[in-house]
Amino acid sequence: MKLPKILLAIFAGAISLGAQTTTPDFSGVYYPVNPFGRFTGGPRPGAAPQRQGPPPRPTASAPLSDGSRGRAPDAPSLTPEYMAKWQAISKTRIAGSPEYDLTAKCLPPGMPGMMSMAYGMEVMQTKDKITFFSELNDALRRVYLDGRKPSEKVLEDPTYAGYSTGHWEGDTLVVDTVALRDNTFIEGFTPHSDAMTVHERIRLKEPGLLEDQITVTDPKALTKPWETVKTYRKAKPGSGTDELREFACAEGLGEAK
Amino acid sequence: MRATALVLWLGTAGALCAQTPPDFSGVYYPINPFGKFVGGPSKGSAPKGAPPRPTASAPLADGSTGRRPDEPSLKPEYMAKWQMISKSLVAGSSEYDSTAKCLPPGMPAMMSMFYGMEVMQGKDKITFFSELNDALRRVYLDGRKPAQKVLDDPTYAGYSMGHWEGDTLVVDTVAIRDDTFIEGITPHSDAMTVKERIRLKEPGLLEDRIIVTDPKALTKPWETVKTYRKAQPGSGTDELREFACAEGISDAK
Repeated sequence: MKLPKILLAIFAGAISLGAQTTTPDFSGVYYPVNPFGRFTGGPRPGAAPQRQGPPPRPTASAPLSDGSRGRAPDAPSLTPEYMAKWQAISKTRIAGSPEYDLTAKCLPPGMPGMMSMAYGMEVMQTKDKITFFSELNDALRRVYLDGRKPSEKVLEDPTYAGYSTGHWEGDTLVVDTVALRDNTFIEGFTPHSDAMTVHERIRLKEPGLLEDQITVTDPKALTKPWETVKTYRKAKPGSGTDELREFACAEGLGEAK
Repeated sequence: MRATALVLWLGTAGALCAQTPPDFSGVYYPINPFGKFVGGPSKGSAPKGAPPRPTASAPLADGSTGRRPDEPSLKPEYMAKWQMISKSLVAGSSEYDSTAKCLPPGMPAMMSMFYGMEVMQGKDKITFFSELNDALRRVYLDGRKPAQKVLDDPTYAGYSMGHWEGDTLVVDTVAIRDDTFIEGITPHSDAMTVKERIRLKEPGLLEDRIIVTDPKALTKPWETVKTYRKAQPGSGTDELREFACAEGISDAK
């Protein structure tokens, strides 16, 4: 009898805590902090190449001169089938082909790639919905906060942004995204399957600094869930940077023809 | 007497200003987006024999230039431009069709919103999102003005500033590209500005009264009224789908 009472008290406390906290307002224009991650490649300092003669020829098993397969240790860990797919894409990219480059085709970067937001990001928040707008290719993403679930029609017709539902846990917005197209990239040009889902915990780490902890799960393409953290700094009003410009990507398509 | 009237007027104005602005947020669909159809043959006048051949001066069988009386009244230079665009479209060319090229419809045409429209309203900004070609338009409500950089670099949506007059949002839009259309295929100049009065005519019914001014292209300002009905939550229509227009461009290649 004692234990349930304590649990009940804790539970009640949690409820009152939740009720007392007003949800923070994420609205604003943000720019990524270190969007491409920390650069860990390249030769070590002081290790100037001592090579005599031409550099070694690249081989299929070692496309980089350091003998690695070109994937950073913190990149998503791929199953053999998707590693082969990555290598195929990698080769077309090195050859200069935009075949797999969606953003060059003016298509949205897709989730979770779009949260890398190499350009600006605009957040529009209301009680029932929070919308993320990516300046790159004018991509829009809605997170429904009113408890709705995706309809069967939505699940059968995946999109670049996917279908996101969220709820507040104290000052953190917890978001789950499903119904994602399988021709986008997790990040860079790491492929994924139609089974990918994305879980996020978004909060203001400090005033004006938004943090998104992203966990990508894909039982078909990944050997284990992949985690990454993105941080965005809010533009100050009057700084001239708190207004995003229209991207209108297809302008470039017209000119290229 | 006058003093009393002034006090009354001030009191009313004060009360109007003090009220909280209405919330336009939601997903809307246009009512009668193409206007009332007034063309076509009149009743009972069945065509007899072969139709007359179209001519350069009378592209329509009724001898008109093909422009309705309620369309923007163009100056000769822009009427000639319209005729050229008209011919290119009749010939099946998409040269002037920016939405076919996955480009935004631009202001004020984007407020015709043949597809869905999503309104996101905050205290300092109200955003209109057009499902057609994923076009976004922001109206700043915090009193800011466009920078010189913005004025020198026009966009499809332009730069919009708004303020509340009672329950009506009054919006002025400048810095609009000159290669878009006012409506349909009616061209305009780089001097075009757009004024709007947006309000909830009744709950769930949004009205936008649009006045287009263009001293270079129009003989007089052009006025139009758009009405949009709000989608009910749970109806399955209050969620817009990603348009991703460029999908079609890749397929066509």
